Amino acid sequence: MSANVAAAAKSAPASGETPAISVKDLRKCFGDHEVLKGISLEAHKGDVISILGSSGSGKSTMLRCINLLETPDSGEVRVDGELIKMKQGRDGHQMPADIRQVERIRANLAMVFQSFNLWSHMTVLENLVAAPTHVLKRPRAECLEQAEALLKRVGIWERRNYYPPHMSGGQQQRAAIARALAMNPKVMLFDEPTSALDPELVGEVLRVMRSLAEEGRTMLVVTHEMGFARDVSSKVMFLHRGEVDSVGEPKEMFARPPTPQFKQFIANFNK
Amino acid sequence: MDFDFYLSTMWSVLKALPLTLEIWFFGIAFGLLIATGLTWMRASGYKLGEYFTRGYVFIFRGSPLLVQLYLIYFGLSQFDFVRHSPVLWPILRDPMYCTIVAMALNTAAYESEIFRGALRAVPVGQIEAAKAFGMSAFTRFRLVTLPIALRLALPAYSTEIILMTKATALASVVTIMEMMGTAQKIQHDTFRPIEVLTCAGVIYLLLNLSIARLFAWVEYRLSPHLRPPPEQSQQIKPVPEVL
Repeated sequence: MSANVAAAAKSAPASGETPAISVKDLRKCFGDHEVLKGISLEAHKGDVISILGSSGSGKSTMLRCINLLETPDSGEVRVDGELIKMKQGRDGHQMPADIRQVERIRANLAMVFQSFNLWSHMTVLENLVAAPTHVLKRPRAECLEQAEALLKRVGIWERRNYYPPHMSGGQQQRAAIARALAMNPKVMLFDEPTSALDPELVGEVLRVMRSLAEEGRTMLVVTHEMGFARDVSSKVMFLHRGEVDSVGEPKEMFARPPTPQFKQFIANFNK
Repeated sequence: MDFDFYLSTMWSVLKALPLTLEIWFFGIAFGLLIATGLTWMRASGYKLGEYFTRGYVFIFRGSPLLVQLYLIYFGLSQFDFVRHSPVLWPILRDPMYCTIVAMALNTAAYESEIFRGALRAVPVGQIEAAKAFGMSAFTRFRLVTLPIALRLALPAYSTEIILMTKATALASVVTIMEMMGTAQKIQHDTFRPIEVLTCAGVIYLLLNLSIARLFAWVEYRLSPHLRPPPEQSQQIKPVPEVL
């Protein structure tokens, strides 16, 4: 790891506050290919961390390791200080020791996917109500009320009774963000939320994400949107070949790229 | 044409329709139960369960239903322990039960394959979203996997049910006087195969027509998300011609 990581660690709040997310030395292989070679990350309450990197750098895999959609081979993930317990599986790979714990933690880490993944057989409203009622066991009436308010907020209340395939990509992604918000999550994970969208639809989704950042939500955002990374996020993390290449304050990072790899990376985007 | 003969034959064959429906209903009901068990065994991830279901499908899909029916009705009674079993014998000496057992075992093989395919075809992203929102395996299955898989399985399942309707005619070879058995008896008595078999054929056709329409209706009700969105569907015909 480079010196920048140490510098970033120092700049983190020095108080004894538990980080919302803390990842230590995460490693993951797919077959012979080592995708994550020891990644560490700390996100405090209210942080908006943009995770950048070229394709294959491991940024999506890292995000998916945090909510255990991928099982890391080694390393530890803590959410709000709570360690996700792992055990050795029969095939020699690690696996979650307590699936109930994983489910409870996942409910606090709502995820927004690149391909939206709204449940296609449910209307938008049903999509928003499904997890809060069945996972958090909240009363349905209350969930419906909150869902409608959230849909108004992301500007698709008129489409509440539509099925996902009947909406544009931008509308679907805003619905997916509303679905994540309906869980009142502690941290929101965004896995390339605008990468599957037509260019003219990217703006409407980014506006919603920006408003979430402004109200102090804790967000981890894997993205290719340099504008969002530079202007909205509080921290930028650049992954290169499965390692943390550099971490820093966005304005600083973009003004003076700390490593040749990051310089190269943003130069490719500005072409 | 002898309309009176057609009418009286039609009426006689129709009187056997309840029996046909009874075989059909219990055959597919027990078949569905067995198929559910087989699918569960196949999906459970246990090697033993997988080999068992593979073998099961190999045998019951690979051999004619008629052979299976004969083996169950005529074959099993060869064994002393079957004839002396207080559980097996009351079932296996009765041609009606034998037909239902044969049909259920046979259709279960096909249906378990249909369900296996449908489960595998559920998009991974839909299940991942359910995981990411903290749903337990059971909730995931109930809210996401099962509803999507059922919709995917329905077209193939309806075909299997129609095949089963036609398969009930085999019951006639083990002395059951359902529609086909009745038709054959009239045919032997009157030597007028064209009229008699046409009557039986028409009733089977109408029966399958209603079953197909029923499934088309269920499919239509379950897939609003695959049709054009609400405001567009006002302009086009609201209910498409489905068969």
